[in-house]
Amino acid sequence: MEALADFGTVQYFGVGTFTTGIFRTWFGLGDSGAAAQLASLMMAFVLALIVLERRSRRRARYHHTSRRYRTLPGYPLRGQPAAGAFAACFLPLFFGFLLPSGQLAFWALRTWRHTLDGAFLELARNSLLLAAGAALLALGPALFMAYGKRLRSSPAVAAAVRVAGMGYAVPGLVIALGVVIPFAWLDNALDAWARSRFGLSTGLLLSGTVTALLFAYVVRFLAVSLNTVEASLGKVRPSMDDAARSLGLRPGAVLGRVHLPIMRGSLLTALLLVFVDVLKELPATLVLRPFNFNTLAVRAFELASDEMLAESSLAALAIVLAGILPVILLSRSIRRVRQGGAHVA
Amino acid sequence: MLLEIHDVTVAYQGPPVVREVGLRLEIGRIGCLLGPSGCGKTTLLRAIAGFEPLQTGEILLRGRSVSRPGFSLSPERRRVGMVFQDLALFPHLNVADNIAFGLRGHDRGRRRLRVRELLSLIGLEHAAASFPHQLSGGQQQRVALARAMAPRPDLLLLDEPFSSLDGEMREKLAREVRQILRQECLTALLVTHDQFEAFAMADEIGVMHAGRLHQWGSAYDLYRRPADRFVADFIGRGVMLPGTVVDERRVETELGLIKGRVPAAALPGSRVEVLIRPDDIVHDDESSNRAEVIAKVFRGAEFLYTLRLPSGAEVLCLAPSHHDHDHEPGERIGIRLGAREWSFSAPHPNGLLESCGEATRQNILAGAKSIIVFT
Repeated sequence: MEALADFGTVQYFGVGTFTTGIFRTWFGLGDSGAAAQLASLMMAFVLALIVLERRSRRRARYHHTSRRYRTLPGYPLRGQPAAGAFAACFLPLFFGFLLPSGQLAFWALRTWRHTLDGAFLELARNSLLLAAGAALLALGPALFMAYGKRLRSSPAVAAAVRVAGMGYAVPGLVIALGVVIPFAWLDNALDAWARSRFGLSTGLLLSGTVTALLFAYVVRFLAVSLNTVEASLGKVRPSMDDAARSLGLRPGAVLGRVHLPIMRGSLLTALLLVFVDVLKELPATLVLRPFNFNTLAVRAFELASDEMLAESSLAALAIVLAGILPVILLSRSIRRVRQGGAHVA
Repeated sequence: MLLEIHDVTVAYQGPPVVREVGLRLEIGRIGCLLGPSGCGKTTLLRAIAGFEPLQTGEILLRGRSVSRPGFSLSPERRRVGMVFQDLALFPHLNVADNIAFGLRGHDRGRRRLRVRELLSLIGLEHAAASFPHQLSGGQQQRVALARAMAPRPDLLLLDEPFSSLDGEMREKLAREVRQILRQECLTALLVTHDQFEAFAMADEIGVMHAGRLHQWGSAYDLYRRPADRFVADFIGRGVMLPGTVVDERRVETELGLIKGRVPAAALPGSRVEVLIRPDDIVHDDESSNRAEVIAKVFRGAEFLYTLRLPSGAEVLCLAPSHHDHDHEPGERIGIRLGAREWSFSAPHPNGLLESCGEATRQNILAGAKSIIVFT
């Protein structure tokens, strides 16, 4: 799914895929109708994949047989087997991370004197603000839906929540198209209304500003936020609500004194995950960004497309470093959960 | 009267889960709702705590109406504490903070004093700073109890409090909890499906089945004077032996005359059934009543024999295990009824109609001379 949705890499290497095809039809030929048709086709394909995956998994449900994590026995290895095991673990890390980011760091060191300037800082600021804004925006509906499911659980609600979380499987370019067409129509309608009523033009109020971009981010990354929030809300058992009530708390105070402290860490995780995903996002940003508004990812892509790889390295490295942060944080929190695996059965 | 329940019916969607239940609990008493799973006992408990609205009836706490159709005083204003089946300890708070959770109104000094007092009561002074997941099941159980007792509620509700523990631990904790409740002079209502837990904890026990309260009384009453057939079957073991009413003082059975006060409804000559408990039958080699051993189970202090009478009826018999000769299945041994004054309970007419079979029900409605009598 990720590979299907990828845009930056295939575009750079000049491979013709569905996503680059949509992009070319839209901006090369200027035919947004045909692009929308292609996007619909791709969307149908993605949906079919999701349905297929669900069906194949329906019969097999994987459960933990025990609530406690056991510490696995260690097998001390020596000599050749030890070297083999080390290599098996090290090679993916080396080729997948150390080598490329080492290359980036090397280039960045050589070029930072003229790439690290005011323009770069503005890129970083744009990226940070967008990512933080989208992360906060996505948390709202995620909380709303998770609580909706907890308080008024019905098949309809569950289905609606599942559909809302499907954006993650849809390629960013498809979402961008899906956002830009109705937003442009709305803008035009608004503009026409304002002209006839007040005699002034509102211009592109939605589709020309970060509003459309933020909206697309929320559509695309809501699932990330939602999954994290749902999992953490699951830790607050309904009997805890009842216990707090019978100990003298009003419903509102239960949220503040029980739900919030238990969920706080997970809410931060949800913010962080969306933040990093937005930071990395390219195709939707490329299409929906306002005029003269760039982000780190867009700039890195543009420079790379112009064969200025060394110059693009600083922006790329910044994204990589920002992306490592949640990996470290998450693996630490997961380890903590496992150690305290004996959470009340 | 601390707790009064009148004609309470609770329904979610569909048929009622609790049907027209009434009971009273005096201050300082420990009550128990006993019944198989799904009988509505937990729902009734939740209704008392204020988590379920009523369809009919009324619940009063200290004479004040807290629940009736269309009105429910919110749980936080009832002064009712509850220990939940899954304990519901707050994972983000340590033991001391869990216990102090309900003490927000108190000043810091009094709060600390109360927490220390409870920690020593449950024997966990050393664990004040531990988090719930670091404690054993029994320790978590005691923390949940202390947390619910901390604000000194008028009434403490316990929902299957020992279900997560295994047998021996369970009995030990049940005894401890009873002692703690006594020490704190608390009124409590417990829910369980385990009759031995109920016997160990409660002063008064109510047997529930299919949403109805069949009987409310002491453990002894439930065992010796069950109000209907369900209670007779559910509490302890026993067998229904057919008999014939001789007069208002005697019933004739295969094992001889049983003496006691026969309910007026059972006229002389009418066919009745008498509940015979395993300890009612005494193994006596001298006796002329003979029965064949079908099965024998060693239970430590005694043997439990399953015996077949000449008529084919089967009865249970407890014999001390130091009895000098063992009897194997197939042997015929002498038995007699234990000498005691039998007290026949007059079954509640509704209970009787509810619990007996359709044929008997028709007979009773038709005024036929067939009736069930329990002892």
